[in-house]
Amino acid sequence: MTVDKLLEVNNLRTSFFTFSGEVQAVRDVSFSLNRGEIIGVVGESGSGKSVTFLSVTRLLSESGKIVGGNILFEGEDVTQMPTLKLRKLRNNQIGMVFQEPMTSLNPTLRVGTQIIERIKAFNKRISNREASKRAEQLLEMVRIPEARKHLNSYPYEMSGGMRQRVMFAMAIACNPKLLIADEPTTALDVTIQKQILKLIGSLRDEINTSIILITHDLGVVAETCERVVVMYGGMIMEEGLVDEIFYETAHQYTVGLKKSIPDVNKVGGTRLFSISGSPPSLIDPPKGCPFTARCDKAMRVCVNHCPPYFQLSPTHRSMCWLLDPEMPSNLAVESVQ
Amino acid sequence: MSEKHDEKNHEPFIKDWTYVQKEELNAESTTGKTISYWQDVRRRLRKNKLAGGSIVVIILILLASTVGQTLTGKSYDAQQLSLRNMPPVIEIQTAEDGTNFYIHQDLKVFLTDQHGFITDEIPPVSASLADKLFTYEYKGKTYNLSFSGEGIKFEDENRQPLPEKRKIWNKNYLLGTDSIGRDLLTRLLYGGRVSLLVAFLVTICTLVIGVMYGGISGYYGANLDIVMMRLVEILMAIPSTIYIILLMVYFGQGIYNILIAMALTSWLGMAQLVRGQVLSLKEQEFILAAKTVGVSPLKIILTHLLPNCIGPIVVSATLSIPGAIATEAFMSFIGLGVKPPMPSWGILSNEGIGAIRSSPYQILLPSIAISLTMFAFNFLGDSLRDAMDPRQRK
Amino acid sequence: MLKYISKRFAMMVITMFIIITATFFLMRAIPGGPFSFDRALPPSVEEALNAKYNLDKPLIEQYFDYLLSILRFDFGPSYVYFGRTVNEMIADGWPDSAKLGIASSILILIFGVPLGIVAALNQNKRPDRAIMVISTIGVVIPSFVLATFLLYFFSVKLEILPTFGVDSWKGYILPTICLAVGPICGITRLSRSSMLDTLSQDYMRTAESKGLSRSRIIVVHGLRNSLIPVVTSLGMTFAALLTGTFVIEKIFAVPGLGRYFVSSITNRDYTAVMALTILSSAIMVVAVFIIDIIYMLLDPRIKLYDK
Repeated sequence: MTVDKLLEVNNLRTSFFTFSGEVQAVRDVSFSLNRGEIIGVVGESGSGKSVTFLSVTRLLSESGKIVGGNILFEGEDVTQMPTLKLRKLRNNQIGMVFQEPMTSLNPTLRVGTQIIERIKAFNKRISNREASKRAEQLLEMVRIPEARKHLNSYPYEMSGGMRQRVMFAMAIACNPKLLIADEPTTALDVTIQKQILKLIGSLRDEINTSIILITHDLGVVAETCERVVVMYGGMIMEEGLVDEIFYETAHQYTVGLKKSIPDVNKVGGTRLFSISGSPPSLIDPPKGCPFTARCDKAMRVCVNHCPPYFQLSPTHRSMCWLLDPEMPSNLAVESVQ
Repeated sequence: MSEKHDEKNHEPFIKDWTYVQKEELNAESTTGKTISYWQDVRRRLRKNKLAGGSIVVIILILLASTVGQTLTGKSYDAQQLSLRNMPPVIEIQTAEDGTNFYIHQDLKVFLTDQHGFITDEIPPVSASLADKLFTYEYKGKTYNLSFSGEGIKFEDENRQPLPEKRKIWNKNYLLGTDSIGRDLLTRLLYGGRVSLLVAFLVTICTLVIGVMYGGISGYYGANLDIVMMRLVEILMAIPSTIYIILLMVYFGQGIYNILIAMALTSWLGMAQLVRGQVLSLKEQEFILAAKTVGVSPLKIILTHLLPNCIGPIVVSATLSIPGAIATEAFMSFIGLGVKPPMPSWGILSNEGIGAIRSSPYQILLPSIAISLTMFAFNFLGDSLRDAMDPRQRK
Repeated sequence: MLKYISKRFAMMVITMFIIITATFFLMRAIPGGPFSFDRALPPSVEEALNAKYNLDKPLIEQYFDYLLSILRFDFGPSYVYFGRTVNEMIADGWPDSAKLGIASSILILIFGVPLGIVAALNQNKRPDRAIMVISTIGVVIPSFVLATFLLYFFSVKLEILPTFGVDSWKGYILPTICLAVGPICGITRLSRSSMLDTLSQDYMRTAESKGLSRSRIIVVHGLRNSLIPVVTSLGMTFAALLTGTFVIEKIFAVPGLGRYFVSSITNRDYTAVMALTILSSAIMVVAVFIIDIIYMLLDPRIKLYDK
């Protein structure tokens, strides 16, 4: 294990055990994150991206279980951690921001209380006054005007964007080494989205934390992140630096995602591209590549065999049979046409 | 980074590079048949054993209370004063000459045949209250009935107990008689008819009034809604039992009066439920579409709104039946319901409670009938609600 | 906040006014005067009685007199027990009813909410199943049916508790249990479903993600939010129990308000019926008012909705 790796996920498998069967939400996912790095995780709903990172802090619902693999945070396996240690990890090592700012804050507690309870959870010596001072400072850090006044506000008195800022303030309250933001901008207006993304960028500089930004919007990733992980059907389809993903796109799913980014330069007449079909059932996942059913270039081999990762550069890998050197070159040309 | 995937575990395979049509793939993937919401509800309801059991019990109770009374061959108000407070199970004592006696707790001696059918009562030839001793003569033999502190004893002339004692089902009155000698089984069955009739009619009234009131209030909205709902809120502030009691004091006892009083008070909750449903539905596109093409409001309410909020309405109606049974029983119990001699389960409980020490069966039977019916309807309602809950759809 | 409270207060006054008016005219509309039944009275006596109780005045005047006297908490004389006022009879009966009501309210508080929370925290496990089965039975069975079963077993079969009367503390046991079982089961079911609903909320996951202790998550974040809907039910139950219950008091021969209510109905003691109707409704309406205020304290959002 190299020391500068903050988080290392190896062959993670997470399933939900429901009445209709085992939903294999995450199937053999491996990746790692360096200190101070900001990566984007992209995929549509049900691709397993949220579940992967809920697994990292073991915040899965009752029916969800990590059934295989391990998660090393600073070399320690989170999956084996005893409760108290896990709570400390959640409290001051990893901060999380969730998708729905409207429902993620407790409606009956003041904003200040909700921030302070995190500060005080493992820091019994800090006085109320100090904690509240710290909370005020945090609200200022996330650019909330009149921070002192808003400590006494209830969530319902704030707009969605403001609440999401509060969520960020809460997440960074104990100077976490890792900040996981799960679709933090999805429920917000476009202008507010921009502001939140700006905030994420500045937070990394200010508190020097690693950030994992989960989103379904490749555009957001391009603006904010250094590295991208593309997920689909509970697996990583492609992983690489932002430039590699955008300019040397290797997986057909990423191609589709890229095409669905609206282009403001094209005016009129063009319909926004969307990938037809819907994601595979994870109760009975397909044998082969999960994207086969929606892929324009699907081949027989894709149906029956899951492709291995093909390493395209030290930082870029992808799971697609089209990259197999054994593939007859004439066919590649044909299918691209 | 580990390069672990299929290949290392698998036999080497032939990579088939031929192109597949999308249609072919999609045909493979759509194996699961989609089923409609109502099919799903029915499927889940059928899987639920509790719901099935409840339906069976409800059908049995309905059958018993509709046709049962005609089968007993007795009338609910015919009195047989000599045979009052007869329990369902009697203890028969047989003398050496084969004569069967049944000694009633009210110090009466009856003759029965060997199947437990009471044929006659024999009067004492001499009675001494001071010695607590009655003397009887039958077929030339003398019998003594003593009732000292140890309880009632029936003995032959030598003060020896009769040789044989056995417990046997009362063949005259299968469930015994009440304090004025009316057949309890008939009264229980007829009472069930009255209780269930009241409950069903009240529920129908609740449905009609509640759905119309709530539908209109929710559909037209605005000021009309505010006025109509304020009225409901005020009426709801009055405790409903007090409201019914007041109405019954005004109307007087009687089956129609209790029906009206209960119907007048029970629609409030239903109105609120329907209004809420309509309010949330009417903003949806298909209603707007219907409005745009000029469908009349009544038709929109009946064909578009109601079918879409039928689920909660059905559940609420099912659960209002046991509520109505309980209310009727309660009102009859305190003497403000059905008018005696007409029986209802509440009336029977009222009549039975006084005799809980001497003849407990008189209160236990109607209590069991009420509990059983209420359980059945409640479990059915609960199961319906669970089955219709879209969140539980699997 | 003041605006909210004053609005609720106005609602309360209007409701009470409507109840009093309806009760008054309903009672007056009953055919025949209060003294024109059972044995026929000589006309002169009836006239004298009517004059004594101001029944010869125009109806509207009687109505305003009645409104005024109620404002002074004076419910007038009894029509049946000559020489006694309704106020005296209420004062006689209320202590017994209140004792039963308070005892069963305490039972409800002790068992209702905690059982519901325990069930919710063990959802679909054995304790939850057991609690749910028992509470379903308890909530369905009518109180007088429960009373007869309990009486039969404890008083008739086992003979360890008295059948009726509240002469000793033993007499309170069965009526208190009968009054408490239904509400306990109802509250248990309600707080269970409310807690389950709260547990599935996003902010519970947020609280967990902050590394808080389980007890803090459940008490501070879960309990408070899940208690909001339970408060209404608890408040209404307490209010209803406080004014006595018809059936239980009748079965156990408790000389309380409920039994007095029933007997005044059968005796056609109209002033008493009116008084008790108004009293019970008033307690209920005041309870709703208090519940609204507690609601406001528990859930800060209420003020916003009501603007």
